[in-house]
Amino acid sequence: MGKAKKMIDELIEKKAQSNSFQVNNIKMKLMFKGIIPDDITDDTPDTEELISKIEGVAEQFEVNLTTNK
Amino acid sequence: MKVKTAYSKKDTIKDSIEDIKQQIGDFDTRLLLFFASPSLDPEKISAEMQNGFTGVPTMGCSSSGEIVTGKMLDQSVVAMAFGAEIIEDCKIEVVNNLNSDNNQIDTAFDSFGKYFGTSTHDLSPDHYLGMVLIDGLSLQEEAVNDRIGDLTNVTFVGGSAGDDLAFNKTYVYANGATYMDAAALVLIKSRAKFDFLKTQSFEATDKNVVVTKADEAQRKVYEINNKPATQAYAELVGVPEEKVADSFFSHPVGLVFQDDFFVRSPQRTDGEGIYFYCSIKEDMKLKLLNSGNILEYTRDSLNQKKNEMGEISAIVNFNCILRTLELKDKNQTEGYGDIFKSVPTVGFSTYGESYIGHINQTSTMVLFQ
Repeated sequence: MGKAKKMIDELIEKKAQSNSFQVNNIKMKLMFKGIIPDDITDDTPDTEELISKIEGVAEQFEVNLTTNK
Repeated sequence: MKVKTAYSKKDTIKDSIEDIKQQIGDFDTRLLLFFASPSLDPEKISAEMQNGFTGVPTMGCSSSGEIVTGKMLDQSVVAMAFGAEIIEDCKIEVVNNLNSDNNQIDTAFDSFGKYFGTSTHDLSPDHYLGMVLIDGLSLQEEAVNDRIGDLTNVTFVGGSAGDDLAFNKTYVYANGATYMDAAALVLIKSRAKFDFLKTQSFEATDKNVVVTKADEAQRKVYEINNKPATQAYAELVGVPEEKVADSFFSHPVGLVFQDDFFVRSPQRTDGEGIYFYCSIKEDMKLKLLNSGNILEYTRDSLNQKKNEMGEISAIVNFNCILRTLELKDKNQTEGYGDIFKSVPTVGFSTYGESYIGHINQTSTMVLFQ
């Protein structure tokens, strides 16, 4: 547990490019893609489906995630 | 003067555009945005508008009612000319063949990037904004907004073209051409500060709506809370199942985010399923919404923005057709127009609004300081 949370945090941080106002916009974009970022916590199970979903969005955003390497 | 607005209710395209030109007058127009009833031939109006404003980037769409400073109109054309105090630069792109797997959204954004000399991923959302107009019958608004959000952090807002409620053909216009199954996008480098307002006249209830079976592409929901959609919806609203459609206007559902929500409006029943005006993903958690007063919510939201921004010099308003129908039903169109009488405004009644995603039953606006 905890990997999905780290991945989603990194995804949001990198896509928002240090613009704090953008963080909420990115979270909303994720919601429309079917990922509720605020529901992903350190206790969220790192299911294959969730990890794969986050990786897919990272690819769409053209964000390189280091958490999963 | 930062913008000039104009409208015409003349019967012919030629007279309408002459009327618009006269009202805009000798103004240094850097971008012309227009919305027109399809009663003015959609195959011709874009070319004629471009002929009337030679050398000016023009963009627009067909509508289901138009909005201009202080007025809600029908069977008209409305326009806003943006001047150099707002537009430092802008670029229009068209994405064709939305229903093809090979549509060209990425190509359009590559072109934006080349034009402005920076990848759209890196453009500052504080200095750039976008507007998007989409064929309102394409069923592709979700995909378009989703991909825009992938390719940039610049906020794009807009609406889905209408056709005076015929639901037959809707059109987008760009630089003198007319398109169907397409989206027209303009990316603006703004000299003026700007902000966005998404307002809706609803409050979230504590009733949870989880879509458990859906056809996302067709925007059809088969099951809610593991029950047939019409049965579950009737139970949530507290009405007999056979009368469930009577509650659609006043009780849409909302995708809740912090203190805000994104409205998804039911359209019609089909057996035990419900078609919506936008897609809902399976397992998406929503809340049932209760309707309130459109005039009060809109006035309050706009006043709050005025207080935050200090001054608003122009508004582009994408107002959902469902709100327009409710305003007409309650004889409140004049009251709605009045809310915008002190600020140059242009807009139209849409078949859906664009803001991060495809949404319903909102007024989604761009506000320029």
